[in-house]
Amino acid sequence: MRRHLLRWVGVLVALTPPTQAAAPDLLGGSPRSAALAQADGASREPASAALVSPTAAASDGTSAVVAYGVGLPRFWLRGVRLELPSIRGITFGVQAGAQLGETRIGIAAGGYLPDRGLASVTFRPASEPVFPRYEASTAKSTLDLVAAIGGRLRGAVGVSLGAGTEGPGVNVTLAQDSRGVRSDGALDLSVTYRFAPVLALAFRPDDAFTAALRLRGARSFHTDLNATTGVTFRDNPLSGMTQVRLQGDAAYDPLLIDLGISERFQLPRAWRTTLFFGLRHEHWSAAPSPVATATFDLHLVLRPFERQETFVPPPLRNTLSPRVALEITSPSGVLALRAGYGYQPSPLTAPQGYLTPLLPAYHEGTGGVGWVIHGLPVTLRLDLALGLQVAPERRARKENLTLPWASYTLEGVLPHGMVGLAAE
Amino acid sequence: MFHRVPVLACSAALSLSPVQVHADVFSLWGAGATGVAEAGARSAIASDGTAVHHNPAGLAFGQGEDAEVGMLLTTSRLRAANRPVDLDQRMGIVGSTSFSPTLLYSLSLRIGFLFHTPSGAMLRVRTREAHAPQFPYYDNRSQRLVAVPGLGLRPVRWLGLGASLDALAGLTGTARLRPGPRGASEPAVNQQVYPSLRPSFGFRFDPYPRWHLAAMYRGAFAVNLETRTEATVAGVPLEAQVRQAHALYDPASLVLGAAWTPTRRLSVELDVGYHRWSRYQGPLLQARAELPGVRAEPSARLPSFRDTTSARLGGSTRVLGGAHQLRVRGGFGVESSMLGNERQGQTNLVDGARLVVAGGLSYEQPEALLGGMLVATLGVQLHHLPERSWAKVACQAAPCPADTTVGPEASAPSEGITDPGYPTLRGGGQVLAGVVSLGGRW
Repeated sequence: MRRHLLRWVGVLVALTPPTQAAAPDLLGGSPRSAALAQADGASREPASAALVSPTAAASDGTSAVVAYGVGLPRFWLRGVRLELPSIRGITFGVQAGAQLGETRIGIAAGGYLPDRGLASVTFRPASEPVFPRYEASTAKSTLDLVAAIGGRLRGAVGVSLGAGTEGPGVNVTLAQDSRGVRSDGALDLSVTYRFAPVLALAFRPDDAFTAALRLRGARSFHTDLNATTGVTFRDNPLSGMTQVRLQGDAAYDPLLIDLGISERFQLPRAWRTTLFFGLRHEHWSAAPSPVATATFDLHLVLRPFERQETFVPPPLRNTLSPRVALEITSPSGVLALRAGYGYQPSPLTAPQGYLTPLLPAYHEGTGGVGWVIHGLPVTLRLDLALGLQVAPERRARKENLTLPWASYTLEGVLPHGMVGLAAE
Repeated sequence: MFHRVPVLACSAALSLSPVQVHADVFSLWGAGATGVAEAGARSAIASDGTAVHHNPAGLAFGQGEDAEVGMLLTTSRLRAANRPVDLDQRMGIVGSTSFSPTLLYSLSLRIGFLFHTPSGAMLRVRTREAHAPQFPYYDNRSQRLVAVPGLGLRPVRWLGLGASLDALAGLTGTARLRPGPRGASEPAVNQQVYPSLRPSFGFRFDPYPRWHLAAMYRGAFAVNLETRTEATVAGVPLEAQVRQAHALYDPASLVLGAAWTPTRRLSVELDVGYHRWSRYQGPLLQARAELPGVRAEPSARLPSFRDTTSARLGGSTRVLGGAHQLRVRGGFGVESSMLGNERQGQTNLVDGARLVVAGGLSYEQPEALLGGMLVATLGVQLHHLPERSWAKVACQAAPCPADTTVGPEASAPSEGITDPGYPTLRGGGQVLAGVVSLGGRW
């Protein structure tokens, strides 16, 4: 009986649709942002407004950016190299704005399309280590839409689009009639809308200083589906009704609050520099379990042995990540050099419990260059960014040594790069 | 053995071929309030954002920018086997826009975008059980998010070429449910969602300023769900398969259109279409399952489907001019049935030749919306399916032919029949759609 349930669980899982993405959260929403270690929450660049600084959408004209990024996670667990997929995909952004008197308005869209497909939805078995940051989360498409308005004080609202799956699911009947044993099935599955809010504020008292705040709600791909199997064989102990419910939140991105400040200075010989400082709050304490739960409701003539368990995730703490960056622009504005540093603490407290989520702390150093190409109908800028995230070795030991992965060491690096073209 | 059901290892290898969704609300009703109001006969005349569906080549004949957004409402009074058959998605938002990118003015190239967002969910896939009375022409054709970009190019004054791209996602991956160290079931999922694209092509030919000819090809489209399960239970390897080859199906279609616009006040268009329903593999979920000593196969045999032809006549005339313009729109159409007279066994599929009647109004006010023309349009379209019947025959003795209906007892298959379509399957009714939209042209 149960193997039939498993089939329908498989069907339900297979019908799971695309989810949202976290690759821009991990590596940056544009090449410029990646080169600045994502310290550019107070950026004035409109093309990447939807993913980096939503209030920048309220800028005159139109702009766009498209970039290709690669990240190569290399992690060792208990000294053994982990097989983590590379992070590859296209980041894009478009913006259009206008000036209405003293006020500017604008809209922007931005997103990420991974190479491997629109999305990857991964639930690992509860007894195996889980990498919430580096698996499904980095292989999801995203689309953020924002609208902004203002002058010196600007505000923006928007949504980050996502999806979920729900519905009665699969209903299968195995029965007998005059023709013998037959099977029949019905399916009712909905891919529902899910939205995470995007809110932003910025203050630009002059041409040099910007302070900005961005909030983006938590995102996940929520699955809640049933598979019902009815067997009406005469004189068969498997006759009856069984139901499997599969629930879980895949590819979770925590709520983000980005605080950014930037100040532009004049350097000797007409070079300019902009200093960026950012603080990112990630609200991991609200994270759901990283594994899926299957519950069974069996109404059979013969009740097979079945053991169910709900796997409680370990408590996570919120994190505050400081970032700092510098951009130096040549007198002609043709060349820009960028560098940045950030530190991302681990949301894990002391390891405990059955599950083993791996969320290492890491340091990040980045650098990049931007080259403006004039003489075309539009102004183009070629951007290159390189970065390295280094997760120092972490030794963990659970109190109960009989639990899976009761002790382990974890360390790794994530080199990444992004190249892109921005147009205004 | 059943007490040993704890599964030693069970893996579900899922092989879902790419979801190729073209089935959309626009194929049923036409795009935009004008498309609904003119019975979808717009392949040779549409040049705004709705041309992305009707014929993207028409985009190249548009001027300036346009945008509209509206609400689509549908309701049905379909009945089969003496019971109402409800359809999904009664409400949705539709919209379109077209414009010429500044950089591409010199290429006479225009871009369009068309969308439909159903209320409640992005997508709903619903397959009914084999014996359930159902209208496959209407099921699962209007309940998905549609976002289609289109491109029109006009290399010479009298010729337009166009293409549009419909996209959704395909799924493939694995799912396993196996006992962990504690013996409790631990789900494991690794699933990839792939993009799938389906282009459509069209051209428009204007031999004379008042005559417009068009040809449009839309590819076939279906969601193919196929699940293969490999399981090992108590050391015994097991296999199973679930398949629905053609969920959300829309047939390949070829539409030829001719429009006549003798004045700016009047337009008339005739579209004829050929729709390849004969490739349709049916709306049912095919479940093959195996219990110890028992193999369960889907017994329902589907009737064969037929290609259909359609003819749609639409037009509009301006009845008021000046600062407050009013245009009356209307249309009429017929389409043959995808189902023949073949006798059905376990299934109760219903379809019939449909009559299409449409009408609507457009109110236009120059320089009333951000310096452009305000356009408000109402379009209504009715599909009428005259009642049609199929006789069903009870099996008298085993082995029972596939085109008979049966009861539960093998010794007396003609007794205790619960088939809702027995002895005569009758079905027909009406489906009504309406769109009210607001937009502008600049």
